[in-house]
Formats: sequence, structure tokens, C-alpha cells
Amino acid sequence: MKQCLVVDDSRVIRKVARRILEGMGFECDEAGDGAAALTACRHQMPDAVLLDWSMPVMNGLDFLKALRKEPGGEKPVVVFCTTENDMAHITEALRHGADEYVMKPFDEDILESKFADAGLAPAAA
Amino acid sequence: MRVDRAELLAFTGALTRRRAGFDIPRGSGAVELRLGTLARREGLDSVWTMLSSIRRQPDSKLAAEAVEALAPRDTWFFRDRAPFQHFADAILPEALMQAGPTRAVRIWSAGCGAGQEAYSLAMLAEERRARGVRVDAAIVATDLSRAAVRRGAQGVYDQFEVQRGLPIRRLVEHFDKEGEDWRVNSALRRMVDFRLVNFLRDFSALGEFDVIFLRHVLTHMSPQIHDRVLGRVMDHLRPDGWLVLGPWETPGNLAADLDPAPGVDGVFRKRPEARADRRVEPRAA
Ligand SMILES: C[S@@+](CC[C@H](N)C(=O)[O-])C[C@H]1O[C@@H](n2cnc3c(N)ncnc32)[C@H](O)[C@@H]1O
Repeated sequence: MKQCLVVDDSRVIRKVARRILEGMGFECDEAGDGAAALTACRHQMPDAVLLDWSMPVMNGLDFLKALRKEPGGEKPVVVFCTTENDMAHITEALRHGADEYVMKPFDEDILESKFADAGLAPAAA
Repeated sequence: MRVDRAELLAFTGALTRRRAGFDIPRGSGAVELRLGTLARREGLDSVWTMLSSIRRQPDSKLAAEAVEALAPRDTWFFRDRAPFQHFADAILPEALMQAGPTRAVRIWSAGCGAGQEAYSLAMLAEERRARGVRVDAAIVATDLSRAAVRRGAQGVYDQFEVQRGLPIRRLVEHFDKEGEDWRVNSALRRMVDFRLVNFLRDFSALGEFDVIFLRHVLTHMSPQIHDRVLGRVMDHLRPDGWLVLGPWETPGNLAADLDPAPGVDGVFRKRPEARADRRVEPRAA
């Protein structure tokens, strides 16, 4: 089973995302900020990371930069999931190695479509 | 006023079938949902009052608008993926070769909805061009619905729409942000020509195409109308041209004129010897 780490400082969002991702066949772990996510990745590198941008302690972009420098850190598919929805944020995320980008609010269709675009799940019918 | 909903539903189904060929969604709830906005705009207290009035004047502008509002319209970018991948990898390169240096490859997005299908094809053409290949392609996108054609020509999509089927890199590459919405860039908009076309009316002015995408349209039509519409659309496909249908959509009676493309569902090649006279209906004038 593929592993997905859900990183968001909102418990509600983590719960919603987790339910959808589990429905797509992922096994999920959660982290409330970038630093906790990095610790989780050092412990076990997931196949995918769903990543909020603005979080306390360490934000999503800083987490991504750090992750990509870790041993094996180039492997996880990273999908941003954030309210930042302007071109500048999106291109910056892509430049630092994000694979896909979800603009909140999201729903099941969007997550499925984006994970498929990132090469992670079969396309929804 | 007491109105018989079942009777009005039957009338409405007959109206859309006769005017546009498609069957209305099952159940009064779905019909109320699709027509609610129109009824409110007309200042009528319910969809049923509006349908009664349309029944009295079936040739009114309101009747035409109701038909448009009832049309199935759900659509998204790169819908079902595989046909678009096949277009990029196989159809477009071969069509370009077939067309040669003197004419454009003509592509028809038939029943285009708000334009996502046409712009998906335009993005693929543009991406091929960006790799340094000469790509002379023109896309014609048509729909029955005025609102759909207007939206397509504007090329503005909201945040939900640009996240259905559209990879983020393509959003960055081909769209500009406008307020909270996203607009297809002008290079793509120039490539696509949006026009109002009802498959049951005359559209002979559209000319001939190398590739026709007719997806998620026939599935809403009864078998008899299905064959008639497909036949009329196919009259605009060049010999050796490609027809791309949606999942579970089949060529029906026209199967003899089409060869299924190997390895991908819903893609067909028109046989050079395809003849219009084999069909149920005479060639459209
Ligand atoms: C479900 S959408 C499909 C859009 C797109 N082709 C796709 O695959 O996603 C069907 C479209 O067909 C249009 N349509 C239905 N009947 C039509 C007719 N008789 N003539 C022209 N367009 C029609 C509808 O207005 C609607 O936009």
C-alpha cells in the first residue's frame, strides 16, 4: 500500500484529506507543521506528501526545500494543497520541486485528478 | 394553478428530443435544477409554470433557452485522458503529415460545452509547436448552447474548473490569472473558433475536418437520433480522418464506415470508401 503524509496545521483539513486519500487506497500519516513532517520523513520516507503552505514552526515551502536535500528526499511526490492561489506562489513551488498544486478549497474530484496528474493513482472515470 | 408534472415532463422530453436530440435527465428534481435559474429570471414562481407557458408557445425564444439549459453540460479539461494522449502522440503528428505544408489541420470539437475540450486540444498543439515543430492547426468548437459558446470564446474558468483534469504545469503555461479566475492565453484563444451549431440543423458551412472529437454527446441520445447525428457529423470528416468518441459511445449503424484504432478506446478512422448512401438518412444539404 502506498503511504501519504498529510501535512496541514488544521486538524479538520487533515481529517478531510485523509478520508479522501484513504478512499483512493493510500495509507496516511499526519503532521501539523513542516518540522514534524520532516521528522516523519526521516523516520520513513512516504510515497506522497500532501502539503499546506502556511504553517507554524516550518512552512510548506521550507519543508519542501529541506526534504529534497534529504537522502531519498527526491522520491516522494509532493502535492501542495493551499489557499495561496496566485501565479507567483505556484511557480515558486514548482521551481523547488513540487509535483502538483491544489488550490483550496478542494474536493474529492480535484484531489483524485491532481494525484493522477502527479502519476500516483489511476485517473478517475 | 394545478399542473400535471408527469405530463409536463413528457412534453419537455419530447421538446428536447425534437429540437436537439438529447433525452432529459430522469426525474423532476433534475429538471427543476437545470431550469431554476431561467424560471427565476423570467420572474415565474416555478419551473412548472414556465414549462406550461412553453407548452403553449413551443416556438418561443424561451423554449429554445429551456432546451439549452436542459442540455447535459458537465465537462472538464483532458477528460478521460487517454484520447488526448493519443491525439498528441499519434493523431496530430499523422494528421500534420497528411495535411502537408500547404494547409492547416482542421479539428472539430463538436458539442464543446464551455470549451475545455477544445482548449485541451489547443494546448497539445501549442506544446508540440513549442518543441520546434511546425504546427498549422485550426480548431472549430461548436455547441447548441449560446451560454457555452460565449463562455468558450471568453476562455475564463474558475478555480474549480481549472483543477479538474488540468495539470498545474499546463495551468501555469497556458493561462493568466484574472481576479479569482483564470483565462486561457491569447495564443490558444486565437487557435479556437467558437460557433453556435445544433446537430439537427444545417451546419454544412463548417467544411471538412481531419479530426473530430464528438465526446459525451451521443450518450445522451436515443439510438435512432444517435445514428442520425453521427452520420451528419461524419459527413464533415475527411476520408482517413479521425473520429474520437466518449467511453461507451459506439458508431452504431456507421461502424461499417469506421476502423477502430488499435490500442485505444473510442478512436476511429474513417474508411476512404465510406459512403453516405449506406446510411439511414440522406446526406445533409
Ligand atoms: C456533456 S457535454 C460534453 C462536452 C465535451 N464534448 C466533453 O466531452 O466533455 C455535451 C454538450 O453537447 C451539447 N449538445 C447537446 N445536444 C446538442 C445538439 N443537438 N447540437 C449541438 N450541441 C449539442 C450540449 O450543449 C453540451 O454542451
